[in-house]
Amino acid sequence: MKKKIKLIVIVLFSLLWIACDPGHDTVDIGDPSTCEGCHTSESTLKLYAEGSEAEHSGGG
Amino acid sequence: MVPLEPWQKIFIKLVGRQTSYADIDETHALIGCTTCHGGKEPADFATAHDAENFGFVRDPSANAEANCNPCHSEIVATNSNSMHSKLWGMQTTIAQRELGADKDLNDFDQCPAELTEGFDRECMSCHTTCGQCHVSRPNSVDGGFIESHKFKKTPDQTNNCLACHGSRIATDFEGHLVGNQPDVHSTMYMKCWDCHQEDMHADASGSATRYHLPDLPNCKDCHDYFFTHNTYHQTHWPDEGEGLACFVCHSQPYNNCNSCHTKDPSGDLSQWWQTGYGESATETDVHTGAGDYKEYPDFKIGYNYDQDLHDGEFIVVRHAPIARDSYSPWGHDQLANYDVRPTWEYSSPHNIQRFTAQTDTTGGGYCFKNCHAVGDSAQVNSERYLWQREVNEDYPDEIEANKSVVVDDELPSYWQKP
Repeated sequence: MKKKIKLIVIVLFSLLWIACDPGHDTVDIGDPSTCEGCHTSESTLKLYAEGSEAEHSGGG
Repeated sequence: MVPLEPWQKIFIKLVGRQTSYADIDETHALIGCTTCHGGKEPADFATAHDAENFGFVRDPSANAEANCNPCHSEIVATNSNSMHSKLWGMQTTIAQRELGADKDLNDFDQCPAELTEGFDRECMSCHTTCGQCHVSRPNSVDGGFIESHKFKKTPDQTNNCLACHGSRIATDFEGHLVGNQPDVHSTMYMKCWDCHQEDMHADASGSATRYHLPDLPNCKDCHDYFFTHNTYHQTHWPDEGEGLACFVCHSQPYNNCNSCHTKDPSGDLSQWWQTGYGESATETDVHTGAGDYKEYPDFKIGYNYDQDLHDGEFIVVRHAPIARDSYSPWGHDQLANYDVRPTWEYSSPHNIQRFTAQTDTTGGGYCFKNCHAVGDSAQVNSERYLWQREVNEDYPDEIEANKSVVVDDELPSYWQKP
């Protein structure tokens, strides 16, 4: 009986874990000419950071 | 604090099922980026961030009246005069050291222009905007989003509070000084706001310093006399003009600062905190910087020079980062009334422990053996106090300023002086 309860608990927690799993990062989803498209794109921001000689914004 | 890469500072990270900023902060996403930040959208990089032609601003909340109203109008209205926004305490100390002991923040504008203009230019540069507490790390640590531009009602302790309150509060609270333990409240996972429940946005123009704010934390709010009753507390319980401030027994050594100087306004101001307060750690845990700046751990018990404001006849005092010529780089050679305020000031170190060097009774005996300057340990214990002799020898320019703090005339005459 104890083993069954243990199994049920494990299965329940596994289902909860899967349901709450945030999954993988989703990046590069938008149009880089828009604020949100650029600022949600790690690769675009890195490109600008490497290419820009201007003082970097602190994101105030 | 781990520095962020430039791209990280402005990265809005979407995770899991999030597909837009609206999934991070639904309310503020409705407003739209350019409504607060200006600029142009859609556009190329340069046009989007064009301040001159399209009014782009990095920190919209620097102008909270325009950008945080109307939604937060009540907070904006009072916060414009809050302690964090106006640094009233600094205004009071400068006014007193320049104009006289009876002055306060209301007299600050009467100070010479080089002081008021320098204050606006330098001191006010890191104190503070809504965004620097609720969105990003503050300017003093070069900014950067904390959680993907999410507006956080409660600031982040590490990235906001301790980013500014670092050299003293963070160092103490997290136990960074060699030989220290973290504050017991830190090890109990308590956060700043568990004690600091005063209204940070309140109009504080009636408070001469931060210690004059209403609703400040008080140890006695939690540590009631009857629940902490013992011989030591019965003897030394802090009250108005009597007993010991809690910190006298329960603080560990804490950082002190000497001879801090302002920045020459003709120089590079963009990194003034690095050149003005630069540091080079050594094995003795002392940090030095430009001018004669020094940051060092120490512990000193002084006489309570303001018993209307602070409980206890004896308090813990910390050397403030001030010198008679601190503002000389601004063109103000000497503070005219430098001697009217102690340079060893009341302090409330955030490194509380039940058992400290003063209260440790390991092996038996009473804790007065660790504190009273008598008997076998008189010499060691005597070092815990601020005596006139130490001020005379190490701070000869501050003898007059600290006359009300030194303990010589306040302790029993048979106690041994160092």
